[in-house]
Amino acid sequence: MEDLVTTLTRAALVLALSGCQGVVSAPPPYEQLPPPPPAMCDLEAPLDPGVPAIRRLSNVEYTRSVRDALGPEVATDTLTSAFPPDEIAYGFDSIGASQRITAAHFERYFDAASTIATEAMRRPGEPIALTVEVEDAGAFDAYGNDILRNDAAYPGHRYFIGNGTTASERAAIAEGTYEVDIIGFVHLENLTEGADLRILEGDLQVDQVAFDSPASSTITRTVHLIHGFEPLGIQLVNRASTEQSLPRADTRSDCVECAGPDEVCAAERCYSLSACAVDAECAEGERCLSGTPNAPAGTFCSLPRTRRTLYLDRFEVRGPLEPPVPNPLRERLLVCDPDVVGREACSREILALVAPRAWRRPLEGDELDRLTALAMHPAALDFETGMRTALSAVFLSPSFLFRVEDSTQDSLRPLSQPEVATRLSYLLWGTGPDRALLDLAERGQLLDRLPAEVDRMLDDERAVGLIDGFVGQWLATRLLRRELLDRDPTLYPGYDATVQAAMAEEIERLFTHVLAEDRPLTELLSANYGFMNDRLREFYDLPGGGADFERVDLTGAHRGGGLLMSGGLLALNSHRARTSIVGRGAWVLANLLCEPPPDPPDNVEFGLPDRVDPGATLRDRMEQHRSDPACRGCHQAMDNIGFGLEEYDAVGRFRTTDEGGNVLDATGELPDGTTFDGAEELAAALSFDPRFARCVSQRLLTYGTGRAYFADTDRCALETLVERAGGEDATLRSLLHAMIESELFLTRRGESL
Amino acid sequence: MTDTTKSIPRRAFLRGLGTAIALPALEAMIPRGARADAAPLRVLYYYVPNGVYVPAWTPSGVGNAWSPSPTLAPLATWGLTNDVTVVTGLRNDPVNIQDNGAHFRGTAGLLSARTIVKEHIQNGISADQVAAQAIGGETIFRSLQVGLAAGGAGTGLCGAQWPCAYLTNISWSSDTTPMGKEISPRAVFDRLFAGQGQQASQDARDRRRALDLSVLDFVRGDATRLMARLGRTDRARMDEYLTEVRELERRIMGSSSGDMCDAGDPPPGGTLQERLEQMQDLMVLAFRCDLTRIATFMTLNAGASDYNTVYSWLTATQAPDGSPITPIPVTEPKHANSHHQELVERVAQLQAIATWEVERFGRLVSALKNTPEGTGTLLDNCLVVFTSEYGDPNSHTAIDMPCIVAGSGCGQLPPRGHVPAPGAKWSNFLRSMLAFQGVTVAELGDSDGMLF
Repeated sequence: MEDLVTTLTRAALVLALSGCQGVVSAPPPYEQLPPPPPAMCDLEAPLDPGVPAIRRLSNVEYTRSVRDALGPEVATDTLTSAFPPDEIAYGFDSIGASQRITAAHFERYFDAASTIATEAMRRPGEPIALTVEVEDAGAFDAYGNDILRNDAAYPGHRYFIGNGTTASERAAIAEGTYEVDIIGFVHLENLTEGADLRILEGDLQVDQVAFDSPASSTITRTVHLIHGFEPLGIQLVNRASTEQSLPRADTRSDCVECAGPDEVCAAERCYSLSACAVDAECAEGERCLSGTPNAPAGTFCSLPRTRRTLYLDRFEVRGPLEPPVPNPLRERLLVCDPDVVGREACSREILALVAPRAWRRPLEGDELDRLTALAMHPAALDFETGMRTALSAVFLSPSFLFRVEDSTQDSLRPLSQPEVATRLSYLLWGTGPDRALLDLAERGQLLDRLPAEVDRMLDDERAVGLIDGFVGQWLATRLLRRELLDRDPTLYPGYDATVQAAMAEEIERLFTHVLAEDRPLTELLSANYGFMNDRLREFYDLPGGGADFERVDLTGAHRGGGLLMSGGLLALNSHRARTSIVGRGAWVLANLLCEPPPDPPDNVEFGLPDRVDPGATLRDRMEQHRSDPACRGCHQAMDNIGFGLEEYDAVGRFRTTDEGGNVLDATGELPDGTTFDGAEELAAALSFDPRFARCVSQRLLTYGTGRAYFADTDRCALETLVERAGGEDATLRSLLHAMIESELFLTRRGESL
Repeated sequence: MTDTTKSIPRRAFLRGLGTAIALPALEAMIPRGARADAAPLRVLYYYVPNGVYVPAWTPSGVGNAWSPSPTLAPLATWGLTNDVTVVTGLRNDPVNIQDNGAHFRGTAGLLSARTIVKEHIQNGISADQVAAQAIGGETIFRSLQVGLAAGGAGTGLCGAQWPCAYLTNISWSSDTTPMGKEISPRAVFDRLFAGQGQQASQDARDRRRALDLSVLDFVRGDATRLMARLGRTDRARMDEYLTEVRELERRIMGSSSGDMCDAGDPPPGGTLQERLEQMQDLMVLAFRCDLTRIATFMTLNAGASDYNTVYSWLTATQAPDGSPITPIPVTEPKHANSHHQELVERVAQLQAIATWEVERFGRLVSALKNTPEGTGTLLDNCLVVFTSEYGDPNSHTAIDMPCIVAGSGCGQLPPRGHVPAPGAKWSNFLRSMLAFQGVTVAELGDSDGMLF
C-alpha cells in the first residue's frame, strides 16, 4: 500500500513536470527523511516536526551573538574572518546536520574567544593593535568600483591597478599618534618608477611615502590621526596610465564583419595582426608579443603593456601611542569596582550578567561558581587576567557555540520557552534573544504572547538578520553583494559592483516591503512596482527620480518589479557574454517552485560556445533539447521559463533583440498548458501556481528549523501551512506567523540512546 | 601585573611558547613497539594540479637502469636520480567519469580513491587522514595541510555547480569533511611555532599555558554535562567538540617539555615562487622538528581556478617529442595549456610548467636530503609523493598518473628507479604507503591489494 501511494505521488509529480522529476539531494549524514505523503493531504492532521539536529552558530550568527551579549562596542569586523566558511546545505548555512566542528573550527573559536576577552578587559591606556588582512578589506576607486583583485599567483595578497584605495571598516579608536606598518610589494611592468602610497584617514591624507620594493617588505610610518573612528585606508597613486596589452586593433565587437587575411576574431573583437617573430619586425616603440587569454593566439606587434601593480598583504595599525585609549566596552561591563567590592565578588557579578546573555538561558547549578573559580585561578595574577580567562570560557563553551535543545525523548514534546525564544530570535534577527524576549520566556509568558512578540521582532531593526540570512541565501543577495559577476565589459558597459549591489538591495527591499506592509505573498512575483536608486534606474533605462532608493511605479514600463524581472537574478543566471535560458529556467524551478531539475544524463555535451553565431537564435539552438527524448522532459519546463525571460540580457537590462541581433520571441508554454508572452505574463502565471507558496514555506521552514523540508516528501505539511496562512490570500507575514505558531516550530522530537 | 601583549595574537593558544618549540619526547608519544632510537617515517603528498604531458613524462629504462624523461630531467640536475622511485601506469578509476566535474572528481578523489557526489559533499576519508587518525597522535600535529592558493574547507559552488571544496582539498578527515589548508607561510609558521619573538618570560608562559588549559578544562566540563540532554546524533556532534578540546589540550601540553628545535625566523611571504620555497622549507622544518609526520601540499588548486596564475618567468623550449623549438614565453595558465589538443605551442607550455614543477619538487627533496638525521639524512626517513589528479589532462583521465616517490621510507622502499605498473590501481599504491606507515586498512577506495 505504502509503495502504491509512493508510486502515485511520484507519478503525479512526473506528470506535473512533463517527465522531469526533481532529484531530492541526499541528506547530510545522520538525517532521517520523513516518508512520502499521500496523494491527498489531510490538512487538519497535526504536523510532525521530526528530529532536527543540534545547530552550531553560523559565522554571521557568531558575530552578532557576541556583539549582543557584550555590547555594541565590541569590534566584530574581523572576528570571524579566519573561521572556516560555513557549510551550505539545502541552500542555507543554518542546517544543523552539516555544521561540523573540525580542528580548524575549534582553534579559531579558541582564538576568537581570547581576542574578545582580551579586548573586553583592556585597561584604558593600553594601546590596541589592528591587523587588516587585505583579503578582508574592500577597495574602491573614485567611482565606487571594486578594483581590488585576487591573484592566485600571490595568495593572501590582493592587488590594485590604477589609483585605488583599500580601507578597513574599523580603524583608529581615538585621536592620537599611531604606528602603521604596510606589508606588500610593487610589481612594475615596463615601468621604472615605483608607486606612491598614501595613508588615508577617511578622505584625509595623513602621510605619503614612495614604495617600490619588488619583494615583500614592510614600511613603518608614524602618523597622527585626527578623527579617530574614520576608516583607515592605503591608497596607491599611479603616476602613469595603465594600458591593456592588445595587438593593434580596432575594437569592433561584431566579428562577422572582420575582413581581410590579417583580421582575426577573438573574444568577439576584431584584431588586425601584424605577424612577427622578433621585435625588429615591428614599428618604432612596438614589440613582438604573443597572445593573452582574451586576445588572439600567435605573435603580433603591439605596444608593450605598462602596468604598476601594488600587491598588499596586510597593514597593521598600533596605537594610539599617545594619548591613552579609552575602552567603552570595559566601562559597560565593569558594573562594579574590584578594588571596592573585592576581585572575586566583582568577577562574579559581571559573569552573572554576561554568561546568561551569551548562553541564552539562566545559569544553572554551580555554573556561576565554576566561572568565578576560573576568574580566580591561581595563575591569573590580577583581575583582568582572571576575567579574560573566564570570558574566554564563556565564548568557547558549547552553551554559546551551540543552540542546545533537549533531544533525548523520542516522543513529541513542546519546546521550553527559552528554547522557543532562541529559535525565534535566530530566525527573525540572526542573533540571540534580547533581554525582553528572555524575560518573557523565563516568566513563561512567551507562548501566550507569541503573535505580538513576532510582530514586535519583525518591526525591530534587528529583523535585518532575516533579510541577510534568509533572503541573502534564498535569493542570492549575499552572493550579489560579495562577488562581481564576470561580464564582458565591451558588451555590458556600466555593469559594476555598485549596480550589482543596488540589484541586491532591490530584491531585499521588495521582500522587506511585502513583509512589512503585509502584502500578498504573490506580489513577490507579480509586483508592478520596484525599489531602485538613481544608478539602478539609469542602468535599467527607466525615467529619473531621487538619488536614494525609493518605490518606483512600473505600470506600463518595460519591466515589472517581481523577482523574475529583478536584474540581480537575471544576471546571476547568465553567462559572461550571453543569457542562459536553461540556467534561468533551472533556477526558477529550483528556488521559486522548489522542484530542482535533476542533473543531465552522463555524456551530454555541456554549454554552448560563448561566441554567438548570428542568425541562429538561442531558441533555435535549444531545439536539440526538444528533439532528443532524453532531454525533452526536463528541458521543456526549464527552457520555456527561460524563453519568457529572454527580453532581459545577461545583466538584466531590457532588450528587443538577442546577442545575434535577432528579434526576440519571448513566448512559451508551461507544462499545464498556460501560454505566455514575455516575463510579466510568465510571472503572473507562476504567481497562480500553488507550488510557489509551498516553496516559500519550504524555504522558510528549512532556514528556520535547520532541517531540510522537501517539496515532495513534505508536501502535506507545506500545504497545511499555506492553508493556515490563508491559502490563496496568504501574505508573507501570515505565512511566517503560521510557520512560527505551528507545531513544526514549537515542538520537536528527539532520539533516546 | 597584567601579562598583556601589544598585538592581538593570531594564535592565542600558542602565545606562551618561546623562541623554540619543544619536541614531543614524552614516553606516551612514542609509538608502541618502536625503539626510542628508531627514526619515525614521514609522508608528504605533494600535489600539482592539472596533470602532465604523459609522453614527455614516462622515463625510459626500467629499475635503477632508468633515464629521466624530459619532464623528469630536473631530478638528475638535482642529483636525485638514485633517490626516487617513479611509478608509471597507475590509474584511479573511481574518478574516471567523463562529465563536467572531472577536475572535482580527480582532486577530491585523489587520496580517497572514491567517486564523489555532486549535490552534497560526499567523498571518502583520504589516505593521509587514515594515517593521521591512526598514528597522528604521536606528534603535536596529527597532520598538516598546506597550499599556495586560497580555497578552504568551504562548500560554495564552483564551475557547473560543483562544490568548490572538491577543487581545493585533497585531504579529507571523513566522507563529508575536507581538512582545508593554510596558504600563507607566515600562518603555517605561526601555527607550528607561534610565540616566536614574543619576549615573555618562562614564568609568564607557564602561567599562560595553565590558564589556557583551565579554559579547555572548563568547556570540557560544559560539554560533558550537556551530553545528558542530547539524543544520539547530537551526541555525535558534541563528541566532535570534545575531540577537538582534547586535541588542542594535547598540543598545548606537548609544547611544554623536552628538547628544543630551532625554528629560525618566520617566513616573510612574497611572490608565488618565494612562497613556494618558504612553504617547502616549512615542510622540512615540520618534519625535522617532528611536529608532524603526515602532510599534504597542494601547490595550486585544480582546474581553471588557476586562471590568474601566469608563469611569466618560464619559457617553453621543447616540442612534444622533447626536441628543441624556437623558445616561446609561457603566457597561459596551466589549466588552459593542459587542454592542449596536441597543439605544439600548448604542449610546449604545459611541458615547461610541468618541468618547472618537477624542478621545484627536486628542490624540496634535495633540502630533505641535505638535512642530517641520526646517521643518515631526513630523506631516508621520508616518502614524498609527487602526483596530480590526472595523467593526461587533455582527456581528463586519471590514467598514467604521475607518481614520483622520493626517499626510502626508513629503509622500507629503497629507491627503485623506474617501476612500470601499467593498469595498476592507484588505491593499491596508497595502501602500500599506509602499510609503510604501519597502518593496515580493510579497504581504501577501489583497492584490492597492495602495490609494494
